[in-house]
Amino acid sequence: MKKQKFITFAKILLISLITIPFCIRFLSVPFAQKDATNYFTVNHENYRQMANGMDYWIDKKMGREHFNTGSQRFDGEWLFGTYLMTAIGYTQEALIFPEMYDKNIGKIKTALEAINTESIQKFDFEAWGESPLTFKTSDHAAYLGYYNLALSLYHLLNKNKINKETDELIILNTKISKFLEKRLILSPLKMLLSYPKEIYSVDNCAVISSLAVFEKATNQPQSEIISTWFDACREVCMDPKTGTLIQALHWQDASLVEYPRASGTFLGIYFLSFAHPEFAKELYENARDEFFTTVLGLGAVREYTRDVPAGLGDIDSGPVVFGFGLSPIGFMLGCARIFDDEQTFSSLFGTCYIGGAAVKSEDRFNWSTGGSIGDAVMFGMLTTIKAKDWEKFK
Amino acid sequence: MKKFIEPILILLITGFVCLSPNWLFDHQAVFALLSPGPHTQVWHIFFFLTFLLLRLFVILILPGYLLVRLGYIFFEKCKPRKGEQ
Repeated sequence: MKKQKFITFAKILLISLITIPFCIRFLSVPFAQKDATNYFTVNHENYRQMANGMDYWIDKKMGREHFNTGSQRFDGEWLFGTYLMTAIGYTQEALIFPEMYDKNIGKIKTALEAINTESIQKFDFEAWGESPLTFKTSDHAAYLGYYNLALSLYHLLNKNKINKETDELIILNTKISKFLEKRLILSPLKMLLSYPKEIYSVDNCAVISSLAVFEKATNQPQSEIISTWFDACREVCMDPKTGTLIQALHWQDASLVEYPRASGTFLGIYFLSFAHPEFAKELYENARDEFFTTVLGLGAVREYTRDVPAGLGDIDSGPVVFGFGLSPIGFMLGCARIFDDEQTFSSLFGTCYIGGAAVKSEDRFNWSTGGSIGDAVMFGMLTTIKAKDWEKFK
Repeated sequence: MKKFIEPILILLITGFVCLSPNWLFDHQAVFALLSPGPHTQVWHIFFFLTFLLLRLFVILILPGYLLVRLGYIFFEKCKPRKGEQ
């Protein structure tokens, strides 16, 4: 009797082991990826729903108290990231669909003005001991690089629309761009400091792309400092073995401080796509070969390179489970969209669908498990401007 | 009574997975998972992890499980009973 029961159990187990992976591959994964093509293409309805989803957060007038990371600096950075990616997402939407300009311009200004408040600048102020807008001898790349990118995109959007001499955001954009350019020229490494004695490759990618977009907005030819920066980046930021971006560099000699990571690399690639799409594509292909993998058709992204033992990640990368990170999935999704890599996009979208738990209600689209920062990042990444479309804005 | 437990459990799990995203969204529950510490409410982490595990179960495992289960029930029904042979 016992033997009979054991045989039945073994049969069921064997059938389950064959059937369940089969069902995951041919039922669950296609179900999770069903909207992928829709989000891969430039679809006005999706953009509108995602923008409405971000309106929910913007209307809340968020402050540091809405975040609960346990670290004052991270609370500030995430609040900053939420407003920044929201502003960038709205701007990208209006650049692609010019008819959305009137609807979005007020919201873009709200988000950009929120970034320029003491409560958001506080994380940078606490690190440097001075306001990021003093324009003295400290680089403040962690604040100015990102903020200036959003301002430069705003400038590009308003290229022929408003009076540039009187618009405060454009005046600020010009001021920051000149300051960052000056700091880059003075830097022997051609890299700016994010915080005292800390250099991060991704923050410098944001700095350079902000300057490149500023030049596009002001119809200037590419300056020498930007052209030479890519050589410097290749020399000091790119890992010679994998061709991905080293996460952190020593502030004096640019030696390695932290190994390349997928979260920093893919965010950096997204920024560089504004400045140098060919270079960004080369980095994207290297990073895809190194970090990306699929499990039963679902995309996953290693946070660390293959030859480095996986850490636990940090608050920027999200938890790292079995070596795979959460935030790099979102950043890579945007990069796959930029470089027309539909297969990679679909597999990653399936993973996002399962883990992100999309909520659609009354014209609104949000990702329920990411909170405001996750929503803002996904909004920015799913509205990216494809590399081939950048020609339109020259 | 015993035979109703399984379908009721599946319905409850699926219902929970379908209805809880709104709650998670409104409470920004993600922070509980990303930065657990003394400031985090334990029930937030518990709810969030439960949600993720159950969602993974419902989307990935449940279709295959149901197929195997239905196959098993069908097989049992078709099996000749004792004395019929």
